[in-house]
Amino acid sequence: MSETFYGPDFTLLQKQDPDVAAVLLSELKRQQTNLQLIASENFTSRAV
Amino acid sequence: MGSTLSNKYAEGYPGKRYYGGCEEVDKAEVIAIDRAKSLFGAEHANVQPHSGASANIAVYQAFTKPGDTVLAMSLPHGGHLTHGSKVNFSGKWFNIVSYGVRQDNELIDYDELRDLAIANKPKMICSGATAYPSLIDFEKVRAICDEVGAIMWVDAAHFIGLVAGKAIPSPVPYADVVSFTTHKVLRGPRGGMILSKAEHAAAIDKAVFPGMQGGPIMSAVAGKAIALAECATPAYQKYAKDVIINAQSLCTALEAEGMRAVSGGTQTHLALIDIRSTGVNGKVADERCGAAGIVLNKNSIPYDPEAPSVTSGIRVGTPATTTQGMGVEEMKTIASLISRAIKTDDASAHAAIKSDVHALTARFPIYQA
Repeated sequence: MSETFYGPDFTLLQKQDPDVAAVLLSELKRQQTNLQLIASENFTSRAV
Repeated sequence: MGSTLSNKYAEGYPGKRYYGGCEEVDKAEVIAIDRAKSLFGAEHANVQPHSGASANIAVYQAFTKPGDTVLAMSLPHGGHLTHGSKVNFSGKWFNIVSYGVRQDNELIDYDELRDLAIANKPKMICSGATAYPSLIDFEKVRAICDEVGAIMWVDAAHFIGLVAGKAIPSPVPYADVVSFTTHKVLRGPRGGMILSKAEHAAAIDKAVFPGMQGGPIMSAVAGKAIALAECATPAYQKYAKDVIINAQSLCTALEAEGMRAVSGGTQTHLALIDIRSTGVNGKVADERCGAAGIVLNKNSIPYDPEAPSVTSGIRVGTPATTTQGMGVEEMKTIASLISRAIKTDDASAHAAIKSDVHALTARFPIYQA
């Protein structure tokens, strides 16, 4: 608990709602592995 | 920024809210507004629209009444749904007169635009598009608006991120109002924004709230503030220039593969490619590329003989790959991968291309733990 709380907690989400957590992980994999050439899409910074 | 700010209702504007307890979210919104005005040299900024489409609803509401005439770019030539599509509120509630691109050079026909403006006396003229690879001559549009007494509205959703990085000319000095999304080239959170001249500030704010929205999404407003600060950095300005260089490289490489660049190439982040030379339509090309791990979209080309659900073209953009760090060499590789994927209907060939795609993206990782 050393980090300051600011909002989302993915570890908690995985415990509470594995179905939705799984969607987030598979979407991450889709974004990481495929070539994203949709002209209106991008990858935001982690800060955003 | 999915944060504690999402818990707060903040109907109104900083210092003038309907609920108490807004002193902290007020700070976030003031930072976002100040950064937007400073980055774009704008007299007024409204950072509350939930999306680009909602920002556009507010623009219509601020300057027009249902039934008024608005001149906007036609959807098949690159306009947006909110620029007068029959299935959208804009096409149902307004008398939209559409202008397009010339058939010979596929560039905006400013003579036609002026003729239509004089003949139809629109309340407002919209410039901006979703699939127009060239720059828009804002000075010319301003002169036409002045000649007919129309509001100059620029929907800059697609290219505002390039403007933010000082990679292309800004519409802000010319336009009465500029609307845009914050999540495309600009690389911010999903949302919308409106910039305007000071004389329109009250009308815009009233149109956004209470005209179109209730409480703003304050977590998104904070995200917009963060993105706007990122836009002011030298690293972002380099990225914006690289996005264009990459789009031009990708476009040239696809031409070398035998396809045709609409409008003769690109000056922005996207290229529109006429793929009729491959014998494959846009819909099939989109599906084949998808099977090969290449995510792009089918897109109508100007004067397209195919239906919008089929199309003769594809649209490719380079914001995401540029953010990943890819450059000119990778664009050549991508053009070759696209060409291979389009020209075969063989599933094992698509699987082979997909493994090449994965090898490429593995060299440019994003969001690593």
